Amino acid sequence: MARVNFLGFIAGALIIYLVFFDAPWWTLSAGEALSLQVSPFNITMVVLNSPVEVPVIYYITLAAKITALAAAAAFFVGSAAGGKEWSRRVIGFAWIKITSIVVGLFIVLAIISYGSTYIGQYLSQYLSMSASYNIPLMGEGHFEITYGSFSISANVLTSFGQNSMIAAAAVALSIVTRIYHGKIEFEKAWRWE
Amino acid sequence: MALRAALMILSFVLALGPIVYGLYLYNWNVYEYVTPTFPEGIGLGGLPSISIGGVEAEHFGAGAFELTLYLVVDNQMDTQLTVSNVTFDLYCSEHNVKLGSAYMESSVEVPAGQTANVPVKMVGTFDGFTHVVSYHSYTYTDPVTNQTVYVVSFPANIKNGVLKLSFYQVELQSSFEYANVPISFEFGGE
Repeated sequence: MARVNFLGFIAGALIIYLVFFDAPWWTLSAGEALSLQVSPFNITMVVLNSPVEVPVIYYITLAAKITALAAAAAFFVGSAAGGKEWSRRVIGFAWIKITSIVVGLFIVLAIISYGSTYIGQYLSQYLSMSASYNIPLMGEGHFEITYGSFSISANVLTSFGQNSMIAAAAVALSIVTRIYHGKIEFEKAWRWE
Repeated sequence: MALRAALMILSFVLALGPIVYGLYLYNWNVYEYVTPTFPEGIGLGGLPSISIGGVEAEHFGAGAFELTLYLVVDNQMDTQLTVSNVTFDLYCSEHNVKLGSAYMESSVEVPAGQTANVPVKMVGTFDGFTHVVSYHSYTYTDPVTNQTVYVVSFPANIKNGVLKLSFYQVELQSSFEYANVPISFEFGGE
């Protein structure tokens, strides 16, 4: 008799919500000159009221969308067949995918935030510019670039959106689903089913 | 084992497939693939230019003087520009004597594509006043009011100039200097 892992269905539903009701997970604005809205499924950048497009970004976010949908499908299939031996691998595939996407995005944000110091050093070393950045993951920061007798500066505002909290919940639920799935298998083995 | 291998291959295909397909659509041109594309017309339109306009004397006498220097700011950008602060020191070109320091009393907004006169107040020092009176001025008596009129004329150097502009809530700061700015005015009489 196949056991159903209900937690997997909830995790899958959350992932589908994140993909189809896409909203920025993280936003950055530098005055009215720059606006950056980031989620693994869509990244938009607006400079001086005009959108800027990077082709590779579109295909990276497309890959993230397809991978997330595959993870959701794997959660549904693996959870429906909780007692089957192969379901463990399918659930494992699903939780690693969504966790990688979410953790990967947060690593990118951390690089933007904490790596800005190194960007400043690079600019001053190779481009005869001096730059100072303070871009927090959440809150108000400041950046200043000096080139010759010119300097340009602006306040930077960053914030996390509601979908980032839902994504964190989806990852937590994915991990719990995997643990619970292991428990189902353990019970099955204990009963020699 | 077969399922494990299939899921691993699926992982690679899902993660890399769209990215490689995108690169194929761009004819394997990596540079074009990763380079941002800006829409037509993006930019500021042109940088603002600044020149020295006229000079007015607000006060001259009793060991002190105050001038208003007008900077002509031509905003060639596509957005409104705010001149938030201007400071500089004024020197006599011929004798390299510091005459005083200048500052802005209030910020001035310059609409896109327009030109504005930005008044900057220059407060002279006692030494500066003495120098101008000694080397660069003469006086005559106004026949109507019977008051002393100062006629001042000299070339000046603007040094340690700092200009602060803001647009799109971004602040641009620039240092500047001007040489041989003609300063001439009459003060007193009517």
